[in-house]
Amino acid sequence: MKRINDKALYLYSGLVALVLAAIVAAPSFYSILIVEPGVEMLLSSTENVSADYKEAYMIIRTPHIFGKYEHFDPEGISVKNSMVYFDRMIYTGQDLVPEHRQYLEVVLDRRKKASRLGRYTSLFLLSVTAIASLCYIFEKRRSGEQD
Amino acid sequence: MIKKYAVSVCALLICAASCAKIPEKVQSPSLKIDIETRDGAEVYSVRFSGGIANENSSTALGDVKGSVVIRDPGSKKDVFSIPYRIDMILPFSMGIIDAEKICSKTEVEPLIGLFNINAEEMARNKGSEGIFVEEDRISLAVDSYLKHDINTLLQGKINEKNK
Repeated sequence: MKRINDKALYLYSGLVALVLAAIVAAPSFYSILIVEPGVEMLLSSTENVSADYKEAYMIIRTPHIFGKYEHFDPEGISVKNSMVYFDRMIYTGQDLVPEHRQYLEVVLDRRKKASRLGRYTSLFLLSVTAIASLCYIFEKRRSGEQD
Repeated sequence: MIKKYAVSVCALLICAASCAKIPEKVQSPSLKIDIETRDGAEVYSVRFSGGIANENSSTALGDVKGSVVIRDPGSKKDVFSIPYRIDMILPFSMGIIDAEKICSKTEVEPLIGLFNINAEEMARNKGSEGIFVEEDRISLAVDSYLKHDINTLLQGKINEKNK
């Protein structure tokens, strides 16, 4: 029986997992490093609160790729209700006040959870890459000894 | 072959992404018939109220026009229709239909029959009580609407206010 080329299997599965990890990590780390700190800075504003809160809301109104505003479990209902409220407030031209911060943080928290999901998924995929790499090295050495 | 398949899949994905969910049913529908006298003649005012939900997460529906149709579930015939227009329904929000139609007695009679309204009592009270319309007696038609991306819409409102 012809032996399957395990080296190629480990190499390609490791590469695929690595590429997937990079794809998943990119939006998550962009959100963690750039978007979320920017929103938090706007939410900590003490002057021009309404304009800064609105700007923060407009940033988080665009959903994270892993945290779309489409499927809400019971925990997510507060996010949905907050969005309905802020959409209406901004559409009708009303000002946002410091008391609104906690509700904006509810929406931001969904984004943070989505980033966390992306980060853990990319870590899992990286560990798959690491395992595949170790198997590849082991297989390469074994086939070298056999030759 | 693969290229053709890829193009079709991409076209389908783009189409699916750009399609907005259109409201299909009226929530909490109710109607009320009032008898009024206008220019010396007796007219019937049918007032309908209900809500239609925008279930889209990022698409607001603007200038929604259509009609609510009351139908006889037995004969499946449309007995009455009332047009409506809603200025804007934001995502996850409910647009309120509050429509009124002035009509003659002959136009209203099928409604009176369908909901078993006591005509004498209605004449005495100059109107009926509020009537809840069951789901099988109503259908919603959406004739036209405009799709607005919520981010663009809200950013426009912010810019408008900052001017």
